[in-house]
Parts: sequence; structure tokens; C-alpha cells
Amino acid sequence: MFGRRAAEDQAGRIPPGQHLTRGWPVLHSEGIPRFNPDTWRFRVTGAVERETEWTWEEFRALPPVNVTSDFHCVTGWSKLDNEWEGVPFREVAGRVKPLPAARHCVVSAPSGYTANLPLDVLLDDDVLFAWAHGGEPLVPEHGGPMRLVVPKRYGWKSVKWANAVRFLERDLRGFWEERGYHNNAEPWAEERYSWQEGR
Amino acid sequence: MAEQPTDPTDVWNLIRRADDLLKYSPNRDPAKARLQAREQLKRAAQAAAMLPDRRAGESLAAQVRTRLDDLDRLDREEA
Repeated sequence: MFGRRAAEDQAGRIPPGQHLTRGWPVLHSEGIPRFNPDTWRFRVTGAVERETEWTWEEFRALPPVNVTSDFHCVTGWSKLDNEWEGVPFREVAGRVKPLPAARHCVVSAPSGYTANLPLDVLLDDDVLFAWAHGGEPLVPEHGGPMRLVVPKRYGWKSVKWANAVRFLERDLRGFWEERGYHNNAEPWAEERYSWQEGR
Repeated sequence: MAEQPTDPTDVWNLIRRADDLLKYSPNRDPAKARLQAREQLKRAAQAAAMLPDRRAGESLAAQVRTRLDDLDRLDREEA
């Protein structure tokens, strides 16, 4: 009985066109950057009152949260109940103070990989810069030492190895968004490709 | 010999499969995956050039070129 209810609960959490995965596939198209805690920097620039740079030690000293959320990859798999630990995006935003005109952000990785998101999406309670998954430090293959996690968008928006945010007044498409993938990327609306935009 | 796609969505699907080859390459031999992605993109470029909808064909061809540039960059970084 319990098993069937659990299965029904899980099924209700899988967006259209997705299937449940038990493992955690490794996906990325660029090389894994080397991490040196002494030289690592996290930079926030653009439409903010205080452009800020944190060292690894300083960033890790920000107040952390634990968030459990589902993860949906545009290639078709979903992984449920991910336990993340890290710093909420809104904590970072609160420290840099976005200007009133700031509406969008581009989050980037050392390789130059970028993803764009509206600021109001990033300020959601479940969006964080995560350094741990399932109680363990985030491994490099999955974006360690730290990645962005945006549960309500397809996985390419959850930038691995995130180390910079630029606040913007106008939207600017990121790496996959420039390559034909949807700007909004909402899994429940199955917003996968840019040719669906404006429909 | 596979049939040439005549619909823009079919051409896009060829490009998307090249993207998936690249995204999943860390689980396999990345160099081999990039070669397979190139093959897939060549097929997509040929199909895009044959599309009756020229606007769609040109847009898809531009997407192919961007990805081939990406692959060149990745190959250079690896070398």
C-alpha cells in the first residue's frame, strides 16, 4: 500500500517527457576546472550597489541552508529528493544589493559557460549555491566545489562550478539559450527549445 | 543510407542528438564522442541545406556552425 502511494507521489513529481533516474548521470560539455581554495574567487558585478568578491573561506562563512528539491535534465531524466547544502541566492543578493532596475542575471563558470535567469526566479527560497549533496561535499563531476541549483528550471540553468554572477537590467541569453534551447526552461511547461518561445 | 530529413524539426533533432553526445561525453571517451557529434552535425548541415523552408534552413545551419566552432575550441583545449 505504502509502496503504491510512494510511487504515485513520485509520478506526480515527474514533469511531462521526463523519466525517473535512480543514479545521477554526469553531463557537461566543457572540461572540469581545477579548484584551488587559495585562489578561488566568487565575483558579483553589474547592476548592484556593491560589486563584491569572496574568497572560498569567506563564501563558506555565509549562513548556509539545507534544501531538498527535484532536478530535471532537458535530456529527459529527473532525479528526486536531492539534499543540497549551500548559500541561498537571496543571501548573496542581499549583500550586493541589486539596483532597482536589475531584472536579470547571468551566472557563469570559469570555462565561460553561462546561463541566464530572471532575478525573481533566482530569489526563490529553493535557489542556492550548493557545495554539498546528500551530506557529502559536491564532487567535481557534479559541479564541485560549488554549483548553482535552480530546481524549477531545467538542469542546464543550474550552472556547475559557478563562480560569478552579473546582474543586468536587460536579459542576455546564456550558452545553451544561444544554441536553440528555451530562454525560460520551465520543466512543467516542457519549455525545452527556443522555437517554442512566444507560442 | 538514412533518409534525408525534410522537416526543420527533424534537422533540429539531429543537432540535439549531437548536443547529447557532447553532454554525455564525460561518461565515455570524450574524443570519440566529439567525433560522433561532428558526424551528426555534418548530416544536420546537409539536411539543413536541402530544406524547402530556407529561413529555417539558414537558422539551423547557423546553429550547426556554432557547434562546430565549439568542438574546434574543445579539441584545441584538449590538445
